[in-house]
Amino acid sequence: MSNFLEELLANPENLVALVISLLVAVAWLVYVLVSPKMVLLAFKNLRRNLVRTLLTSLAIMVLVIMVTLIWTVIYFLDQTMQERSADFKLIVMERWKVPSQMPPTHADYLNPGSSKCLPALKEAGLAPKDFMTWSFYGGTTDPDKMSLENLVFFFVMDPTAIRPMMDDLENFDPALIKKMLDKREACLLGQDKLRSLNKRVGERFKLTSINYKDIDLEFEIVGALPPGRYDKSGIMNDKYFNEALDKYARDKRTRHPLDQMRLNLIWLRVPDQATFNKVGAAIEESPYFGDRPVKCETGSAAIGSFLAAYRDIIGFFKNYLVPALLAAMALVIANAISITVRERRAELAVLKVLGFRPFQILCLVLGESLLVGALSGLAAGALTYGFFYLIGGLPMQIAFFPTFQVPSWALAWGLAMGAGTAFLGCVLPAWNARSVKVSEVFAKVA
Amino acid sequence: MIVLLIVLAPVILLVLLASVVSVGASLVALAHAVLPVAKVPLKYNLRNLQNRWLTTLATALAFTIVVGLVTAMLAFVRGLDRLTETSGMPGNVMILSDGAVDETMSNLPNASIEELPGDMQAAIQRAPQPKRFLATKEVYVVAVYTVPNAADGPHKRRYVQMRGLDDVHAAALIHGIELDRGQWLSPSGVRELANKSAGDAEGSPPVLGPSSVAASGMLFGEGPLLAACLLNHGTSARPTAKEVILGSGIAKTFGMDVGRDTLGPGDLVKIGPVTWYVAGVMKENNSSYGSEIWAMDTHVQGTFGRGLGSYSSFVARTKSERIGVKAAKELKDNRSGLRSYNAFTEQEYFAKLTSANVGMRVTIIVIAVIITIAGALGVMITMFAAISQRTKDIGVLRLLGFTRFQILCSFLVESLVIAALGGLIGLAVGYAFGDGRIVNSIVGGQGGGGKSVVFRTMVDLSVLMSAGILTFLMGAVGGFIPAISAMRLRPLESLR
Repeated sequence: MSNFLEELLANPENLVALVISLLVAVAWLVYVLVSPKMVLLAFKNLRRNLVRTLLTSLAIMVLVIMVTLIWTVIYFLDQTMQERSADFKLIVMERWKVPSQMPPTHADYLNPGSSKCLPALKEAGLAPKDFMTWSFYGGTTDPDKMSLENLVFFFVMDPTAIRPMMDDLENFDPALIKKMLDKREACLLGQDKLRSLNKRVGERFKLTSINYKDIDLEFEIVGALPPGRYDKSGIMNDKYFNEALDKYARDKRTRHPLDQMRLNLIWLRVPDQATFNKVGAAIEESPYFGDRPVKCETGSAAIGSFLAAYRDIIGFFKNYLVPALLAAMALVIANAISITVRERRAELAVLKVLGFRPFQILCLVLGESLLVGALSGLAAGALTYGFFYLIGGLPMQIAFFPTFQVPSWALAWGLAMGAGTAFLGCVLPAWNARSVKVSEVFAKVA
Repeated sequence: MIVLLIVLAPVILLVLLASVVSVGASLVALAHAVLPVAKVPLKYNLRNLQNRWLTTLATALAFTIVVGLVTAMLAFVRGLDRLTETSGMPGNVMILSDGAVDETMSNLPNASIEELPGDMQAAIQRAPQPKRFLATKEVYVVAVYTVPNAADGPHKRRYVQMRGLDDVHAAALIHGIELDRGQWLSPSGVRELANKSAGDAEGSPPVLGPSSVAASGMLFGEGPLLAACLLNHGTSARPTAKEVILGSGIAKTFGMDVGRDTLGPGDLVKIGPVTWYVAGVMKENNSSYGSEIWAMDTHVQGTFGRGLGSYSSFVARTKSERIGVKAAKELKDNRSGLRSYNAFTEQEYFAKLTSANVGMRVTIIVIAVIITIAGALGVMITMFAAISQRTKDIGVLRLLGFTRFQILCSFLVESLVIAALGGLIGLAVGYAFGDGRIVNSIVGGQGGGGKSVVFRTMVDLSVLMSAGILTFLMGAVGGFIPAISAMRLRPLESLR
């Protein structure tokens, strides 16, 4: 419930969608209770020209599905970039360039479990479980014919940090973590990666590295990562990786060129903004990192910087494409309803002669339009949500996000979009219907 | 993705089939309309469109929106494609460290060109004056740039591409870069700054004094930071700054950050920990190098911790495209020499980057196709209404001797006229708003990597043709089914 309220209040689109949906539901309920016969008439009218109703509904559905999918991506990225109010993760990375490449000694000063740890971290109450390091190791199973399918990208990390520190892996199977700890060459792979490599859990494979020349490693797959953000990547044990670099130094009697650049990111969990500021300042000002200066960012800020390059295309989708699609939807509805009103002018005049007030006629046309719009929108939202839930999300690679989950809010978005555009589209035709002059219509008929 | 395709396959097949039949019928209808054969006069359809002007206008407006959007989206894809197509110069060979497929991952030692295999050396073109190999050693880094005057929020940093070069003049010849304004890097790559205001800039290095730089917003922080960034500041010697050449795209982006059209020679810009002096700006050339910042190799290596003598790539201009392809292959295959390398022709390298953009292209095309379907449904509503209002007309036409085929053609042409009306305006709107816009995006970029680029969107003939074909499709598919229903009406029944 608290999560629901948080998402509702943090995202204006959810609030607007919910308010519109509730308004439509209440309006229809009142309409049903006050004039059930008019409601029946509205249904009959829609059935009379079933082809038109179906085509309008289809057009609305197609556009709602499109807008929902676009908005899903925008919503997810916005959510990812939103600063959290608690449970911050602080990312320490190289200050002036990307990819960040730090010496392994940097981790010693930031690991709360290490004797060299900066005092500021211990004073802030950080424990070893609040610490994680990432190195990135990439390789191909077929060096002669490298392709996206045979490329594997690993997060190199301490397996014990998976549950406490990795997003969406809080409930990851502890037995698999134990296997990772027991066998250094053990690895976990994402679902898509398993498929593209054509491998199963229990099988072994060898990678020729693309970023650590001559550090070619053999792996045993001990488990699969849950579907979602890790679909195209994997996790390997940092001890295995570090031992390989040490072995290289022993065998070649020289360090690997990337030996002192092996650490890519260091993560620290801090409880609140104040601690973040304090710990961040202490790290950035620490003389220990003078040879390779570091900066501290929240996860959302770091992702924001990565996504800055996409801002124009995302801005186009958000500010032009979505409003234009909604406008097109309103036009389609306006067109269909005004055709209906024009065709039924005689019938509307008869209703007036029978004693129906202009307001009732206005409500009849509005009701028909809202019914088509809201139901089509709701159906489209539900269809989008259900379908992409079943197939594991919208497959669309943006930066490091391989798929996007359609949120359950899509139902409210769909209903609100359908109803909102139906309302905008039918205001003018409904007003025209209300203003039908009986004498003029009958004069024409005569 | 496979599940998605399996589920959608029947729908896609149905839509494809309907499209093919509709397009075929529409082409026949158009041919029928222009040929001197018996047909329902076109004037009849035009008069009807005029009579139902509100419906015609609403449908055409929906078309305008859809076609305008499609044109703008295709212009983005075309611009991105052209950027990567034109970034690779024929004959250029990129030499990376063995195993590396990207400049960011490549780590080459400071070897001289003479250490390359003899065949490769023989293949490299030589510049006539001064005599030298047309080859450069380049160090490429993605640097952190803190956006000045940024609004509150997480987007305060931007990643920009810096390229350090051992010979900027050779690099310019190899990559086909010309200077638009300013000067190339000086031999030392360091500029002495005169202690006067920006307004005096003419001829000698135009200078922004500390106060004017801070006021321009190009530097953030106060005097001490600036003092730390400008060498020799506060001493009797004049302050100096390392020089950079800005790509035209990135100069515009930096300019926009501080409320100007573009940065120019004489401006100072802080990238990473250093404040750089803009010595020149490249001419716009639709290349990914136009999004880069060029500086001396040693300055880039020192500033960004690459280590002096560490390079990302050697780029050489070979005598011809064919020789380049051969040289790259031989260099890649030959692992017996002093060192082994990975090598690509520059065109091959950028083609690989383009291929990583398939996802973005597919997304935009899928969006275009789906909104085309919605557009077709909009036309269908209008045309069905037109037919139901004109049932009697159809009956009369049939009694006058017009055949079912002629009725079908007449209504199809009417639908195509609406599509053409809205579509042409849409193309014009799409051209006006979608051509030549400067946008930021990423080429390559699987898993968060890639090169961030600034490029111009482009509406060319291929974009106009594609949008035009989609317009025709909307008109054809949207008009075909209603036209069939009109064709099937029986004369006597329709007159009742």
